[in-house]
Amino acid sequence: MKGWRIAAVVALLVAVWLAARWGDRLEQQDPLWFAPHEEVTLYFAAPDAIGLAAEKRWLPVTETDVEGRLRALVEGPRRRDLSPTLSPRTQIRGVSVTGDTVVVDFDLTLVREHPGGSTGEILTVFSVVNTLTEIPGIRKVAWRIEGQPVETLVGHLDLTRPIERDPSLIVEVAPSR
Amino acid sequence: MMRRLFLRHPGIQATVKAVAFFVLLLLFETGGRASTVQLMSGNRLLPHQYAPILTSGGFFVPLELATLFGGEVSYEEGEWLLTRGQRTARLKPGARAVEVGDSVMELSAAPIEKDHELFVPLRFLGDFMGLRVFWDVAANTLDITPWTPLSRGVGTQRARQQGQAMSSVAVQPAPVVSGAPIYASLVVPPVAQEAAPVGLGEPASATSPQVEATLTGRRSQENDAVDDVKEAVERLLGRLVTPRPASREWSALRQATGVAMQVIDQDGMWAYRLEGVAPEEIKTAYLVDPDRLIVDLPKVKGAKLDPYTPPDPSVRQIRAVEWEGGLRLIFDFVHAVGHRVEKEGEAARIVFYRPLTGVHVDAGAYGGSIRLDVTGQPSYEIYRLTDPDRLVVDLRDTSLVAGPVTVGPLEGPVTRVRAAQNQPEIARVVLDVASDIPVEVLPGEEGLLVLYGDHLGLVAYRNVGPREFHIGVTAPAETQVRVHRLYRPDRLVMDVEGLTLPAPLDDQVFLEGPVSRLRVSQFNPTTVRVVADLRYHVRYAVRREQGRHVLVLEQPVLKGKTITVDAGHGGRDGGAVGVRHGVLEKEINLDIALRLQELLSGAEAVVHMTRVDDTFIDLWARADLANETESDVLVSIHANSVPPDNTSAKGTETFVRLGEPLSERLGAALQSSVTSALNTVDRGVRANRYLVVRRANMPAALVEVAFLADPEEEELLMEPWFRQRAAEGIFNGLLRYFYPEDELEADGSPDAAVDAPWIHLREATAPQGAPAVS
Repeated sequence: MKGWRIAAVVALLVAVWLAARWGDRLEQQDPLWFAPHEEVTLYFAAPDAIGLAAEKRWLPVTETDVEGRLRALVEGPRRRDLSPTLSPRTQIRGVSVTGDTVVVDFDLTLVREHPGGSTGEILTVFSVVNTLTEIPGIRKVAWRIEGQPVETLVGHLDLTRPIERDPSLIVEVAPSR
Repeated sequence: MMRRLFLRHPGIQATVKAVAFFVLLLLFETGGRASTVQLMSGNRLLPHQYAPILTSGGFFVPLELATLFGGEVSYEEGEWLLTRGQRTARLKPGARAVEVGDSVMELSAAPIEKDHELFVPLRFLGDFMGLRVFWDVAANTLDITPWTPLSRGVGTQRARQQGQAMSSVAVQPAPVVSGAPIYASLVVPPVAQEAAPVGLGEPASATSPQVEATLTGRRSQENDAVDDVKEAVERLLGRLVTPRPASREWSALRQATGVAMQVIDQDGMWAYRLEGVAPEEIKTAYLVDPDRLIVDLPKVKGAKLDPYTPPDPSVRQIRAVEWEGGLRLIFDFVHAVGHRVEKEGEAARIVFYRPLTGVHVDAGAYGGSIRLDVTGQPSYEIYRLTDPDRLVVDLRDTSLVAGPVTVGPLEGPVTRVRAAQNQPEIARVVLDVASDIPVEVLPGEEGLLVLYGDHLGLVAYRNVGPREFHIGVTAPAETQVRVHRLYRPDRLVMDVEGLTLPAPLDDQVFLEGPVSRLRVSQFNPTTVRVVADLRYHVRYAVRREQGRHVLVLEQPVLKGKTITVDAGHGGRDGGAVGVRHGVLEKEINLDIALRLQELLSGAEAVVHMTRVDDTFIDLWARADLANETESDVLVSIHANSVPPDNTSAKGTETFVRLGEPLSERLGAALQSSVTSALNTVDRGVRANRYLVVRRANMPAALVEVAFLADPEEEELLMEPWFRQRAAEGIFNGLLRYFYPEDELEADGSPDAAVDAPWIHLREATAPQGAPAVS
């Protein structure tokens, strides 16, 4: 056998051994990386705040529940042309589902760090509502701040009743690089 | 070594140059940034050295700008002095307190020193110098003009005309005097019948229709202020000041007879003042062939003197002889002239009338001009007679030196012009009129100009009260008129077919009232287009009046409407916060709401405010107020914001509740008017089911005027004029909501009480390269 062929085989064996070792390490670091994923649709603010743009993201199935999606919203969009609608320091205090309504409970940061404005409030509220109503069975979102029902977030929307999805806010935004 | 490196390596050279460039750029960073706004006055673009800068305190302009409007600027030990007339203001950079004469006033923001120049707030300069500032958002210009009463509502005729003449001449720095010329407009409807036809050469009968309500076009001759103004104009024009003629004296007469004679020029009328003589003691006789006036003064000692030549061009010489023991003066005339004897204190005066030496007619197919050569500016009256249709111009204290003059037959609306001496002191000019025409008398260079028909100027306007505006186009009745309305900017377009502009006309800008600007252009070879940019929503109608197509614009009144105005947020709820200057939304909302309240009250609406100061109002209480007061609409005023990453959001947006056609119509009207007024991006009307105004039982809308998250819009929201325009936009939107129809109900014949004068647009002084407006 020629020398280089031996070397190639040895390299291959080494690579396989390395992959096994690193794979193990990777799996320990991020077990979810190997978990089954699901594509979810998240809604963020479109450029110029003209509406909500959909960003599809592959999340591990354990992250596709209500809280997981909310966390993804708080984390913000991956696409650079879209903008987050919730302050990154927003804490999700809890969620609960009753029938077709999900009750989301945020901490005060959401209100305190909200910039205000009708457009701002509508984008915030409906990014959450439109995102969560993507979940089959969820049709309405009821809002709580610090566990309490609220009249409004920043004074433009009436949140005393559970909010339904508003598809008219969704716009198509071609990704710009 | 470094140097060699630098010279050898173009890459390093480029880098060093780039860095140096940026460093220099940074060094020029100043307290304000130059705005792209252009400064204008009237239609003139002001030199670039006066360019305004935009700072957080608003627009600042160089103090030197005041010198263009008659102010004086000087510098003294760290202080700048601005003088206007008797008032002096002392300004220091960084100091908001300003000494004006004996008192101290506070500026909205401190002056800024930049490159050894002082920049002051535009508002201060405007107030101090008596200037009006007009922001044309569409054209991005700031128009600064001296305050003239031109654009105000109708005041009393004569006072207004005098005021116009005086202020527009005194303050205007440019050589062109722009202000309405003094004229009288025919305002009286034709008189149906008369006792006897007032012909020519016959004295007017006692029953001849001297109609009241005509206007004398001449200000009082005793008004010295006018002469001062004329001098000021002459000085501004750099021409020699025409000296007021010195009164002359016939000294020899006084020495011989003890009677002093002074010769006085009263604006073309020459008077001979005889001191120590009572008018009753004078006997005069006029002889012809040659024309001469014999003046007998029996009580005065006679004497024979050398002839005296007065400065009066009508009198060749005055001879003095003895006659039957008394003094006889003989005035030898150059041409025939009438006279009268008056008393003046202890003296008598012989006054000769102005000579009307020529009548020149220039008649065209649709109009013409008649030049009357007469010295000075005689008083005149104009009235119409019928059977046959005539226009009569009576010149007071005027003598027609030649015999009766007839010019004609002529083409056009005036078929014949005749002039004759009607009474000893009245020279009468009669125009035989074939069709209905406007006519006006203007002071000319050598006398008076009687203009009629289209020689008057094709397009004129008049302010009939604060809400009504008329645009008149002089054109034959056969021409077609079409009017249509356009938006963004709101305007009315009037096309007159079959008409040609003799020369381009200057635009006219108005600081108040429903029309903000009037523009005229030749739209195509046979159509003249008049565009009225609207500040407020109007309804309109077209009618025919005295040779003109008149477009009547009327801003509707909101009488009987109840409106709840809600200034968003307040108290502990500050609302959104400006991204660069931290300005609070609640303050902006309140300011706009209060301005809106003023506009609505002015339009006779009943206005309810959810708050008038910085108090916190419960969310539902706002709609409750509207419900309790049974308002017709609820308007909520806000300023917008977005999450900070999305800083490209700009513009105006209106929110209404879903599924309510009336609310949507209200929202559409408000959105359209506000974006028009502010020239902001139109983000449209958005219907949402969960809007807080939803508890109101009447049509409701929430207007987000502009974005506080956008640095430029934040600075605009900080400007009082921007907020004023926002209020005007909302006000206008409400007018359009309540009165969406275009047409004014036809109310029959024009009101005889409309006595506002027509003001004609002037021919453009600079070449106009603008394309046809639309």
